[in-house]
Amino acid sequence: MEMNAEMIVFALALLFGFYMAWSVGANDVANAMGTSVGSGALTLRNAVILAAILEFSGAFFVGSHVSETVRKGIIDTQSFNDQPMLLAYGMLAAMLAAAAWLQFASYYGWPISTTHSIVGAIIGFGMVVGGASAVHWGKVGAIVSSWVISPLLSGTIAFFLFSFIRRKVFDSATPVLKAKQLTPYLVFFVFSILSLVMVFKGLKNLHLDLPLTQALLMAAGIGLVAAVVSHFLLKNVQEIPDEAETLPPSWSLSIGLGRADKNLKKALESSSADMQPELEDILERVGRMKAEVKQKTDSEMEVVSYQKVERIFVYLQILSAGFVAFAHGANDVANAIGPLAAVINIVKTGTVAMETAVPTWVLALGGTGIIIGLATWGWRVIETVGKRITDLTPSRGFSAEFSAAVTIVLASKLGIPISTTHTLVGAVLGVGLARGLEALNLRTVRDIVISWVVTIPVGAGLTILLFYIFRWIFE
Amino acid sequence: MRIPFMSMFISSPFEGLEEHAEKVKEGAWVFQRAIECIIEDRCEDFEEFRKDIDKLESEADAIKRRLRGHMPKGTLLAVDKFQLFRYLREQDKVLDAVEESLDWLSFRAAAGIPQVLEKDFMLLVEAVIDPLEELSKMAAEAHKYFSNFSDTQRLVVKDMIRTLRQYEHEADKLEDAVKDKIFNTIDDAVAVFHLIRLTEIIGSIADHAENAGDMMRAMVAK
Repeated sequence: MEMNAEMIVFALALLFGFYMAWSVGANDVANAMGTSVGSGALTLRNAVILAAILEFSGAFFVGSHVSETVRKGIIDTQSFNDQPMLLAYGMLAAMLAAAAWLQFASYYGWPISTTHSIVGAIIGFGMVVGGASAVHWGKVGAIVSSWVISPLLSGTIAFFLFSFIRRKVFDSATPVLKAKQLTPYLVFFVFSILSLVMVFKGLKNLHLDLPLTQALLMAAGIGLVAAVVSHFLLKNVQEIPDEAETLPPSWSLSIGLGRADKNLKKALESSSADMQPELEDILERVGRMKAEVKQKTDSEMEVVSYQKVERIFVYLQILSAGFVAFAHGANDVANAIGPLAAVINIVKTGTVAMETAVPTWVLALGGTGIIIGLATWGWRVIETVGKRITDLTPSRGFSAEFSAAVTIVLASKLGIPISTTHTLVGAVLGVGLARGLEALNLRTVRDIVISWVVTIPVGAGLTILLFYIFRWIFE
Repeated sequence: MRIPFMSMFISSPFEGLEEHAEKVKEGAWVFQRAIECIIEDRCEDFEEFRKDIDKLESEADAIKRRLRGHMPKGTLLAVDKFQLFRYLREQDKVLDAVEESLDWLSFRAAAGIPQVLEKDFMLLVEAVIDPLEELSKMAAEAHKYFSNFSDTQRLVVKDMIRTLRQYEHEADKLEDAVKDKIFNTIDDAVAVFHLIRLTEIIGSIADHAENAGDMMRAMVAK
């Protein structure tokens, strides 16, 4: 009987863990990809493929840091030494509670975070069953404060990044040229930071975790190569709009009028005296029209050149969106597999001793769950976000996504589970404050603050309830 | 779906401003034709024109209400919300003044505009149409500015505001000249009252356009 109960707990843990991973993939991947689809940088299909690859990579290669924290950093697992199965029931309850709360909130469209739900659930369980001393309050304090700090940080980075781009590119008289000059530097930063994250004690699973100096050198090298490549790729972008595709309709009209003007002048030279007044009259009218059209063309050309700038930023946006997907996979996979890994460990060894690392196959399971979530439901969310949010042009999208990605990656390195969604909201707000967006609804911020306050007690309460139910069933 | 990210985005009010300015421009053209019609001896379409203006005015009002209504309390805009509303109010007053001038004319439609003053009124109307056309161009250019915040675009808008002021000044000078002529050529007190008031209302059309321009200047200030 005892054995059976353990098997059922194991199976349920797999199920709930998978469901959490599914939920992360279904709802939150849209954060990374939605705006790129909206700005036309990526087609829906390509976005889904790119997200699938990068989310999985992030989860599989870097996801263990945060998973460790969720598994054993929030509550003191040693206080369950005598009754390891209690901890297993607790983690099971935490997963189910978080998943149920997420489902409920998704139905109503509330902006709650997957991360906050699971962390709240685990805290609640630890406090009630293990007593207040079972919770690592220091770590919890750090986690909770990071929830406030991470949107602020990403917002600050986004503010300065976009202000910089605006001053350097959009305010200049030659925006396309400036964008071409600036892009290699931005590419350098994106690639360097991304590679630094990967190689600096990151790729444990590939035994590629280098010490800082080596990692820095390698990251700078990769960044440099990418920058040089981007420089040469940009050479193909012309500053004068190429025909057909981007020329304003008044362009050809303006040219036609110019020709008419020239031909009329020729005609005037060779005309007889009695025709001259009439020709002069026509010439004057054509001249007036030409001036009018020219003014219009100039202002349209201005718009065209901004479109061109945005087209350069499209590539940067794709890059940063991929970066977010990677960072998101790394950070959010923990929500699903942290508790799952804990249960697996207990069932396998019969103790709460957690010296062994999160098994690789569990990370892979989490990554797969995210991909399935993305494939079954997530693409629809991406499509919706993409259709509704078109204000976030590539330059804005890049600024927001890059800032969010840096923040998330930083938190992942520190092993802190943060909300990627809230971090991105902070970044978008930063772009808005840097006068990058025409209008933003700040009520979202209020709703998010409310969700901080509500999610933890709800997650905790539900977990406690489910914990007692599980214990009653299995014992 | 639980997408906090999406609820952050609301439609830009500057599009609405442009749309509203477009109505003002349309109104300006109808207004000009209405005055021309009054000046011609047998004007049968005047009531039609008035109805057109009424319709345009209520459409513009609807845009104004839509803009105000869809600006939740916590809206973050690139410009001060009050400036935006003040601008919109001034732009709306332009059309109100157009409507009022036709209404005022209709009270003495039979008397119309005396022959000696016909040319002066035509000129005055033309002078107030210019700023309205400039106003709608400015709204379009300002929308571009608020979507890319480029400095060159800002100069374009500032330039238009300057032109707008000049037009208003021209209209002011004409308004004074017309008033002067009314007092010096018309003897009938009722007619003088009617015409002076009419001149003032027509003049105020340009004033409101200039005020809108001034608000725009504040909005595009760095």
